[in-house]
Amino acid sequence: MPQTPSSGSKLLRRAARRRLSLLLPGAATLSLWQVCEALVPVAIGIVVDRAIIPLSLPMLIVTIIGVGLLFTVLSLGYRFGSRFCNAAREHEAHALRVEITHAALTSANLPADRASGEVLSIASADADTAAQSFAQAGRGIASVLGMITAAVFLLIADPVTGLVVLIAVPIGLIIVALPGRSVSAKAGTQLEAVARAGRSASDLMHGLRVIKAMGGEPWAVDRYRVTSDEAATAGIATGERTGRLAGLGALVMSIVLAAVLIVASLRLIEGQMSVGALIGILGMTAFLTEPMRALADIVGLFAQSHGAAGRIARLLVDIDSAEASDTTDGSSNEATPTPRIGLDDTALTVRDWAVGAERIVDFTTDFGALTCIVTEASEPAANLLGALATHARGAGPDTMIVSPHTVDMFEGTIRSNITMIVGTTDHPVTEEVLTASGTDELLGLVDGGLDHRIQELGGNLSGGQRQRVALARALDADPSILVLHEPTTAVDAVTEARIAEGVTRLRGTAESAATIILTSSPAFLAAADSVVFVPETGPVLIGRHAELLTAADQASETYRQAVTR
Amino acid sequence: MSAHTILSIATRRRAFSHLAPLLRARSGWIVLLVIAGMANAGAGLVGPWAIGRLVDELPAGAGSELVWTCAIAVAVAGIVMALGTWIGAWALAHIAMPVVAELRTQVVDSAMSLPSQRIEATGTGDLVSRVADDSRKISEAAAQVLPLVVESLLVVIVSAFGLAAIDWRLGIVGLVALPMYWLTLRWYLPRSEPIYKEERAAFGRRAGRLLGGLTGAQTLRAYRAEGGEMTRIDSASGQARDLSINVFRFLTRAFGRNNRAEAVVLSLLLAAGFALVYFGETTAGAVTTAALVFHRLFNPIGALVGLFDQIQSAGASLTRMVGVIDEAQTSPRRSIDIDSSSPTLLLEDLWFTYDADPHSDNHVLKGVSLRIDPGEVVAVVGTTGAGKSTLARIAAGLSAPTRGRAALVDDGAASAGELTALAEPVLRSHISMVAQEVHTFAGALRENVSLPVPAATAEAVSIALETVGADWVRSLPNGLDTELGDGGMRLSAVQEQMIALARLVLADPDFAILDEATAEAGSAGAHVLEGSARAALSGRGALIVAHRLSQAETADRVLVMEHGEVVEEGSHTELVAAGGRYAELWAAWSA
Repeated sequence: MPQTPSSGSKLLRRAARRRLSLLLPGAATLSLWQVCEALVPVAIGIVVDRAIIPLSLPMLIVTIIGVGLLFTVLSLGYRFGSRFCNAAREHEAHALRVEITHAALTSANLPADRASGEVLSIASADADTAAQSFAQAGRGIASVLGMITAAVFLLIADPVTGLVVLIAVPIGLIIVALPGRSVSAKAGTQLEAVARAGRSASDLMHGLRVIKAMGGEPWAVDRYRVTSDEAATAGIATGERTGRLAGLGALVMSIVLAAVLIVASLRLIEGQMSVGALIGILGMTAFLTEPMRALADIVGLFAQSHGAAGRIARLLVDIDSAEASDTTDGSSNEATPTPRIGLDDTALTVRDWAVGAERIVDFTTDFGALTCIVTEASEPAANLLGALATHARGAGPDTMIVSPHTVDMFEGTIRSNITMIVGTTDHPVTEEVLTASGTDELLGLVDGGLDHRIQELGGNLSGGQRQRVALARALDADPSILVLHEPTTAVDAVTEARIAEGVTRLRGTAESAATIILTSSPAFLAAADSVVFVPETGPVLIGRHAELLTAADQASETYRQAVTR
Repeated sequence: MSAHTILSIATRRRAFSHLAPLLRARSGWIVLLVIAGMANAGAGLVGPWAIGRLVDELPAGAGSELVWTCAIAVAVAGIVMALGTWIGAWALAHIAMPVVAELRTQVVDSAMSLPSQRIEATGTGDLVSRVADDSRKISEAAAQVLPLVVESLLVVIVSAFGLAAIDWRLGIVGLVALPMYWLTLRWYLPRSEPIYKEERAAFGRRAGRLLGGLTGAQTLRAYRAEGGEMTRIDSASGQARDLSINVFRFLTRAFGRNNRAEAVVLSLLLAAGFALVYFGETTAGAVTTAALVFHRLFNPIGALVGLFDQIQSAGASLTRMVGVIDEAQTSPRRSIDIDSSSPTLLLEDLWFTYDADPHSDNHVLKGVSLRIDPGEVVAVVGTTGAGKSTLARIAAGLSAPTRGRAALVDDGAASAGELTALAEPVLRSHISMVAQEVHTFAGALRENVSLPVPAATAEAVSIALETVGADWVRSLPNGLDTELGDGGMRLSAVQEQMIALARLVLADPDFAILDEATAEAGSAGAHVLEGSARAALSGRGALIVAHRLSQAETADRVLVMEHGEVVEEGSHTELVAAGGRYAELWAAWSA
């Protein structure tokens, strides 16, 4: 496996290496275009000098054909050069996106501080911005070559004037570029202010039902007005500064033009230069500003691409190292030791599960049995789930599945969401699974039953409906060991009782299947073969629900408190 | 009640006439912009003019005075261009930025004042995209596209007059450019729209797949189903890439057409110039000036053609935004006030259907009647789909019943107000609802709580939070100023729900409608939240959609609903003793 680039620069270098076959012809052809653009004023000068002033019809025909050829090369140069660079950009952006998503999806655990939203933004916006560097590289190389051509022309046409141009233009650009940085910083602030207004609008719209239910409309509008007005104020400031900078640029270039005009005219008066050369030199002086300004912009844009590349590289490195630490010691948190999970032909055993307050829990779930776990605090549960999930990854999906509490739905159909097979239209789902998970009721309510379309993120199902589909998914996978985490928090009490009964029946009939459910729902607890109760303090209880409920000691009182509703 | 289920889109004419008064208010700036822009564009002609004169007069033996005159003219023109550019940009920013800010605020304001029922019918997706995406597009266009378009337009217009002023015959030759560029647009626009649309759709699909895959990563890993999802993401991204490459190829063909127009017009100018010089009608210098003026137009014209679809898409965003504003303005005003300190909430024979036809057989509510006296707490129990949430929405005045009456009445019957006719502030001073969805807004904790009463003091906010038992607030290092939401502190389900209840305490209504989903908080959290809710409800009448039966247990009265009808009613103990549906539910619950 190729090594992950460890920094933004390395990532960009790798990108350049693997797109060299597009980048090289792209830059070469774009340069051709830029050189031709530089030659347009020269061509005008030649037509005037050679054809119009001497009034030579044959020369007019020849020079106009020349203009036609120049434009043909110019046009084709841009067309193919920019296509090459654009293709390089698109292919690289796609490759980066694929690389990021594959890394994020296949890694054992995303680093804890990396929310999926951040990965999403890196995989979409940053991949694009980083790949943007190809467009910049093409333009940049072309600009440099265009300027060199212009310089050569100027020096050949008239060394003295040429030298004046080549000194005056860069000085002028430096004068313009110096305040440019502060303007681009301001423009950045303005873009950020506009983006903030956009985020605020989106935030308010997503909470619209909450606002309307509470009469928060004036609050919302006032809040938004403040952000929006800030964006407007920032926009005015940026507009004015950008204008001032552009004005300064126009002034400086006019003065350079005036200076060159004086030198060139005097040379012409002295008879050292032709009229055509004068037109060409003055036209090119005006032209030179373009590639130079483009180059200055490119430097700024490249900094953005480099920043994006850096973020991508950091994410990839983070994922890599999370993977590495996961395989070496199995735990990223040294404070709490990880419970040991054992699995043989007859039972699943959990040993050394630290549940705080120096208590250690061991328990065993035999095949054919259902164990429910009730924890008052959330850390021990998370700790156990983490260990079970790590173990499950080592085993196959037929052996063990730890179904997360958060319900994730994927675009497709109810069927594809249960079977987890993308695009399936005929993969069967058994009636038992549908009944046990309570999905059967849902199927009666929607068009198309199992083939009912599910939108992105399951937006067209309610929380309870999604939870039932997720449960059907777990039951359909039918692993030897199934671990569920609060599977029925969003369904009503009656349905919950039905589901508890159904799940117990379905899992109980399979002799080689053990089930662990982390839940405080009495419906499941009552059906469990054993219940492990982990209070925040005090002794850990293991026993049947009914026994724990009726025992007379203090610990059982805590249990009653925890599970009665 | 409106039957169409998408928000309206304004016509172009309507959209621009909506902008007119906003622009009129800034007419001074507009005059300044036009003057500055014309001066700038006019000064740009001085350079080519000076070169033309030098071409004519230097070979004829003019001396250095001419050279100095021309140089000074170019330098002065530089000063005019500098000032014109600066003042123009300044004026444009003063026009565009406030107008756009006003427009986007109007859209948010309008979205807020749309009737809830309308929002439910259209779904929030369209509204979010108009209020957030379209106004962002307009804002960006105003900052980035508009200055370029305005400047290019002025340069093209002024240069066209300049060309005609040099020699009217050359001006006419220059006019050949118009049909050529027009043909480019004619060729370009109808082709660009569908492929851009396709590209946007592909981007949307890619974003959706990425979002679905990355947020569902945990589940995909648990079921070892990453492969299928990755293939989908790859193919969506690959499709978007291929489309983008095609779109760009198409774009370069359009640029090629521009080059063709440039070459043809430049050649025609030079050839016509040759003929005019030949017949002694003009000078070589004038022809040079004309050719250089036209050369100066390459970039602005390219910009105008290249930006045309961005202008069009900004126009489309504008019509969508004005559509929302218009719809809000035409929706019925709620203005009724009622004069009562402690009214009773009366729901009489409520029928409700989501179908457009009020006589449909598909009713969610079928004649539900309920009266809640001041201070009385009523719980509604039933399975999913029994109509509980619809009843709650009607009781909160968010939906109008298809048939029947939902009103606040005084016992003296001196005044009665249909909930959906009451002015919003009046309604919310009497009834407030904790909705099923929980949303924490990006902003400080204090702002989040003060939603119903923006002017609330920090002390009032603290008291509200304390009332609902939000002790965790005290341990926050930044206290009430703690930033929440996107990028801020992450809250647990219990904490988010407590904020919602604290809002209710601060709103201090006579009646509270609770349709909160405490279940996500887990069993322990639900216990805590039930305590919070009890504290928040103290002294108020309430309608509670009971997701947990313990919420019903403590209510004054329990309503059992099934298929849109009330099947049992009474206190918890009565119903348990009666041995009916509720007793059955209770048995299942407390097993």
